[in-house]
Amino acid sequence: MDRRNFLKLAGLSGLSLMLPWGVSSQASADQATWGGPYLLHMHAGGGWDPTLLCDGKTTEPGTTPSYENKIVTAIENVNGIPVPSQGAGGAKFLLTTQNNPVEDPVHFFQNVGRDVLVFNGVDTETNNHDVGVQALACGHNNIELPALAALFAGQVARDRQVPMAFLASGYYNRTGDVVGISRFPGSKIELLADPFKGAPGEETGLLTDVGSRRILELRNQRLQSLEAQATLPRNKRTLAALRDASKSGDALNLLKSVAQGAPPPIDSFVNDLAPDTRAYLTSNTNPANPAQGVARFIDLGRPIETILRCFQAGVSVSATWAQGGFDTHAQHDTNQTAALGTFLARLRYTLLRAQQLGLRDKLYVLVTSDFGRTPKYNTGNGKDHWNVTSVLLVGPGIRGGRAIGKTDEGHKVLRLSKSNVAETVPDADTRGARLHASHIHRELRRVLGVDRAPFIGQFPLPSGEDALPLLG
Amino acid sequence: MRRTSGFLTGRGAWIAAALFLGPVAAAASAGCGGDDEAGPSGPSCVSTREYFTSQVYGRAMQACAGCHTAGGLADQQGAKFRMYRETYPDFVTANIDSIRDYAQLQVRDTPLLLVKPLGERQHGGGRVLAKDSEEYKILSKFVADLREGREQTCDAGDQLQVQSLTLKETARKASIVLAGRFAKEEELEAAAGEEGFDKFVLALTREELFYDLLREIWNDALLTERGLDAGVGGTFDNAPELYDDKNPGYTTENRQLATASITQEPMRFIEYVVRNDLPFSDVVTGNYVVANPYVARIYGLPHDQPMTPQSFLEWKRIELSPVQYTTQNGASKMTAMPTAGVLTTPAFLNRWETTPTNKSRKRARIVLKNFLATDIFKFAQRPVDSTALTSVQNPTSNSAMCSVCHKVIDPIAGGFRGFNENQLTRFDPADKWHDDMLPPGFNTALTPPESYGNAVMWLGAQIPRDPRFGVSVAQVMFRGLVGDEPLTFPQDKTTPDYEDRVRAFTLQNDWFVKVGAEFMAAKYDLRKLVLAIVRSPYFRAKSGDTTKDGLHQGLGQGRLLTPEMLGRKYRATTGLYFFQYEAARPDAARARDGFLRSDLVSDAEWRLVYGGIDSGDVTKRTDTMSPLMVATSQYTGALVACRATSYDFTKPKGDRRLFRYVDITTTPFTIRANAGAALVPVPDAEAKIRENIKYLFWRFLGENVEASSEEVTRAYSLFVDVWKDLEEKDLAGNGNGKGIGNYRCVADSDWDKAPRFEPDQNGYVRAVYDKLRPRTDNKAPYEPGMRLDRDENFTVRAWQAVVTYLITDYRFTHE
Repeated sequence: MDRRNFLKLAGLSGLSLMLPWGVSSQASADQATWGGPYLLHMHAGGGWDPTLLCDGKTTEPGTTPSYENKIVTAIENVNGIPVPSQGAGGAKFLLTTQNNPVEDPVHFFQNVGRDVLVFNGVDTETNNHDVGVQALACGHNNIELPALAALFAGQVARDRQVPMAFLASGYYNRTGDVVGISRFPGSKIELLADPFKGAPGEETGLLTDVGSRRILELRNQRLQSLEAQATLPRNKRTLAALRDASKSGDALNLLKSVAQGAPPPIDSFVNDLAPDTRAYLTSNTNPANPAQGVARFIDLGRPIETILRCFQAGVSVSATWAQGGFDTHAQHDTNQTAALGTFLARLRYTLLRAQQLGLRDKLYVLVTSDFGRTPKYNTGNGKDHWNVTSVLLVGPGIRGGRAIGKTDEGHKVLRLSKSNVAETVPDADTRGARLHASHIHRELRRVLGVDRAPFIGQFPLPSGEDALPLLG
Repeated sequence: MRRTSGFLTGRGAWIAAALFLGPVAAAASAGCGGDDEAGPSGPSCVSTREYFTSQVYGRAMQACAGCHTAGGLADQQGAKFRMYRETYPDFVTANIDSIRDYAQLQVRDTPLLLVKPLGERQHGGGRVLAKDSEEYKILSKFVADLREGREQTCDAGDQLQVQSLTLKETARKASIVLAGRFAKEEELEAAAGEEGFDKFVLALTREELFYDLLREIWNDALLTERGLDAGVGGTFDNAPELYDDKNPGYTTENRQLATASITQEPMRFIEYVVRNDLPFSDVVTGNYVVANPYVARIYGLPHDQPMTPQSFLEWKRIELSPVQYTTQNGASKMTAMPTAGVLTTPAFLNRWETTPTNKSRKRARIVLKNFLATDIFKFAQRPVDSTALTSVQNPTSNSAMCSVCHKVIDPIAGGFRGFNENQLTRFDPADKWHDDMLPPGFNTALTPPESYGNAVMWLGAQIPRDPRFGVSVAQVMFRGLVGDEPLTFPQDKTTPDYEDRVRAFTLQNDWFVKVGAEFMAAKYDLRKLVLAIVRSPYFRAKSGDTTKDGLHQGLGQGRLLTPEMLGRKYRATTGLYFFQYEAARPDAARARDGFLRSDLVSDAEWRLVYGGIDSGDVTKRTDTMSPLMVATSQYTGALVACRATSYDFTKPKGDRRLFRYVDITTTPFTIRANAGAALVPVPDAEAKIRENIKYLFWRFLGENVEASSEEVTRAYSLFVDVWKDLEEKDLAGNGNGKGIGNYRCVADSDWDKAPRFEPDQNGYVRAVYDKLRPRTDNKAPYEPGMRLDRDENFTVRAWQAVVTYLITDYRFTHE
């Protein structure tokens, strides 16, 4: 059953109640826009240190402690999430960049991030960047499956002419050819919205109206003819992609509104920033000439702003986005807090701005990193690769404000009890299961409805692994 | 092929494997899994290598691979029998050799290899196969065949069962892809024969635009064009005037050109090697630098040209090792720095930066990937549990979980010893290396201590001796020319066409081994490697059995052109690049006399929108169309079509690229005096227009179609519909519909003549083209060479529509 028919049937039979996004997607399968839900996958590239964010640890006692942390001295339990709260010398723990406070993790999880579901003790089963990036994006360490964001967009794009269904600016963007990859076109968008005109507003186009119309008609006939003749896989694959991509046409006009939008005023965010970070985040990026700059928080949010506006305009279904700087083999404390600070500020921006744009109840945000960092410092005051990490998730129907999974004092995994995932058991206890990226992806596929996509059979998650009811 | 003596392992096996795959297959007995009736050239032929891959490795020995591959339990416990995962380059040869060697050991006349899997002779893994299982029978037969020298080879071309482009069609495609031009008819005719074809393709690799492509291909691999500021010269401290704005000699232009120079250095090195017919191995062994005057100044080396913009493209080989001049603690110090092709260029060293804890492993990873066909990230994929290693001292050396990769990567990383891990290009031969890593070396050889002062040169010298170098260079060039990644071994055994997929992988893998070995045997002649790729089914296959997708993975025309290639194809076929504003601009870093401008190359935003890379944030090209790319191809195509159509009509018929069978006055119907009159066809006009459309199908799309075909009829209907619409509107508007409305489509400049560069009224230097002569009398017939801004026959705009239709077609944007 294709998606369009499924939607019709669901509407008639009451099956729509089973769909997590309820009514919005049933508006009209023929429209060229998408009303939600949306998926944003944010990735901290290089391997973050979750012990500085949502799985807080302090240095263990003893001469050879199993875990070392020079910058966190106390942890606060925020709804079951262990969040670093106190830094060296007893001061409040803040994430800083060049000594400027950018984020306050406790404030985040108590306020803007109070709906965030935290998975701690996720075993990535790898210390390898590429494999970690892949595993967290697609749910499989060994087979390069399409990214979850691509699968979701591909499912929607089967029946809707969404022009930039999958907006790819992350590290892992494999599609399995279920959807095309799009990148935001910047200043070119006005030209592309009407490609047979030389420039917007010109009275005479490059072609006559008859010519433009006939070319598009003939092009469709030609594509059908070529597809009928195609016998080899590369032809079939690239022709199918071209056919799908050619459907969007007029919807590109919607991108204009995205490109032309002014940045939001900083005033609309001030009250939701952590008090200790307000002065810095509201300061101008160009103090010598403020008119040429913007508030730092707005500046940090730029890449996210474009994505959210594409969602709001209905021209995109999902997006990947990544920020680097987390591979802190040297000077870990300085470099990791800087990367984590800007990253968390961007997550804060995402959630606040989604609220302003009316997307908050339609937006899934998946937050991952390649893996974690070693419990101990290396000789360069850095921390190396560690296969234990954390994942954050927020979205409609996701019960947040809690943590699933734990690690021990040395940041080693505890297993989730198979009978009750809210509980953990020692790693040696076979009544438990180590939490892997595949478990989270299996659940997300279910929640997003991707597991019902007709193409999903081509992309199975690892077999021989128990499903864990992580999302209820 | 019946082996008559001895067993080959290691390097010899690589070469042997390549030779087995030669075009002339030796007479074969019934080989492994072979059919007595299946000759070496029949589609049902199953080679020993394919049988190994699909049946032995893919099935019978799956249980063995879990422990006997690098880092596995058996490997850790010192088992003599060793297997290689599919991520090991040419794992087929390595495994067959390993099995062949091990099969010589026997117990009571039975090979140990057939005893141990049954759980006998203290097999550490216990019983993994049952004696009556199909898997055991497969293994038994394979071992017996190897022991008795029964090995089957097959002709890969026949195995794929595809129809290919003719030599002439291939020549057309090759000229566009390789040299960015449309081949002349006489060239195509000459290339229709085997000998002429090779000669033609090799000649294409000597054309100027081939070197642009070459740099693009290798930058896709090495990504050094991300950019490096001239300030890196501070390491050498020879030319502060190029980066220090307080220096009296500093100019912004010099800094920009020095920045471009130091960024381009690795790709210019590669270009220099190929342009001068040097062995491609110089790319990693060359103990010289390739420098223009700016790079030479940064290094403190002499150059025979002055440091001026006009000399930017004077890339010369300089034999002297660069001499690094530094001031430390107030004392001057002259230090010789080793040179090993691109590996020691600042752009490479900075693009693949290191840290005191990374210890040049990133550089080693890139060396392995691009020069040794080894993706270390996929080398031993399996669960890694760091938490189990906390009691292991120095796990990268002492834990099999880590050392499986580190023992490969760490010795190569050691080749970069001496390069500072904080100031990336500063070199000190006395720098210590890391005691906690395996010592510098390559494969099983250790770097001799006397080479520690120039370990990277020793490393560079080893690389081209390894057969993986040939495979690796072949794979990089394959990616660039064919547009696909090499196939990977299929993982999902449940797919119905799994065996076909294994076969496709095996055939391609064997082909890489073959062309890689030939490339090395031909003294690393890259041109011959290019020819081998162009001749292969991966470049030429055009149709096949539609039910054989598994076997035909990666085959077929329809590779999405990169933005750079699309730009060149516009020019190759129409005479013009795509540009929004300027057809050319002075740019010393690209051409001595300015360069014709393809915005799909020069404008990063266009390049990225069309799926290109920036070598930093975006490093992988998009290989299928997105909606934005469709719109981009329509915008760029429409703009090129409108300009090129008008301009082509300003030329005498014999000089035209596009309209060789029609004139500007060739109308399908007689132009009417009033709208009520009937349309009267012009005798022979339709035939001429169709003939021209037929030619455009060949020129733009590489399709040989009949003038009466459905395809031509569609395009003809477009021509007529647009023509009728224009004529009707002109009549309705009392003759006011004859102008070419959009100024971009007016032919005003003589694009084919080289531009002059002159300052405009604001002082900006602009390209100035000769103007076409004015058409003063609009009532007089149009003559070639005149400005073309009127279209009184309605044919120019009708042809613009047809050309737009064709150059936005799938077969134009894909090759």
